[in-house]
Amino acid sequence: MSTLEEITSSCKVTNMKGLHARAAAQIVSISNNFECDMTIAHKAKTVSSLSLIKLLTLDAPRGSILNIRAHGPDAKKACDAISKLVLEGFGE
Amino acid sequence: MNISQLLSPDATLVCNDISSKKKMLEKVSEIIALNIDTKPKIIFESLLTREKLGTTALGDGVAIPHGRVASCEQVTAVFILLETPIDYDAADGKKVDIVFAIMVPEEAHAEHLKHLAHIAEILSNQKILSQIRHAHCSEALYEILETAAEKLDI
Repeated sequence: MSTLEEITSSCKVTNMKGLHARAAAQIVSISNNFECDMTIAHKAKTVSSLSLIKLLTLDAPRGSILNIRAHGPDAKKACDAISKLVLEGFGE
Repeated sequence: MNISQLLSPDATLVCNDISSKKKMLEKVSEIIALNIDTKPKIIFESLLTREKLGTTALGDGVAIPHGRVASCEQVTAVFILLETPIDYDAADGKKVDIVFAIMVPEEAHAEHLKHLAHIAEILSNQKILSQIRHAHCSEALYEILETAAEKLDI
């Protein structure tokens, strides 16, 4: 697989509490497992999936659409893992 | 953003007598209890319960302890600069010296996220963090936050 591969994905926030602090912490934790650069965007703001404090600036309540963009050897796996996490409501 | 929607000067402090996370949460609870009709112990339990689910340290010496209590009708915040950083189980391993605590109404999920976003926007700015850490008194600390909130387009 090319290290230049870039994967994008969109998913809707489904849990009642939205992208709150513990949910954002799960994104950081999962992102740390993969070799790739990943960003999460909501509306006009794009942040690193590795920065807990920046993820909180996204202000993404239930129903928000998150746009995930990953770049690197694990891009596909990382993108899939984050999409799954969000779509499954962060396990809540 | 007008910081006074969230925080009052009376709830903004520079502290030199707090040496642990527990003592900090107790202090936060006492201050919040002055503004909402709940005993400090109940507020403390709410904050502690949240911390047990996972640290509220965000990295770079910043933490945002938060909780919900039934009697809280509007968001109430406390901002503390600790002269001595405390252990906080932060993912980056850094001790915490900047604490922005908030208590929110039970079901106010979207409102809670909006406040978190504002706080995170201010406290992810390295220049503002540096200004906060150089604040010599509570009044100066409040002014820094007031100015920072006004400047940020939120």
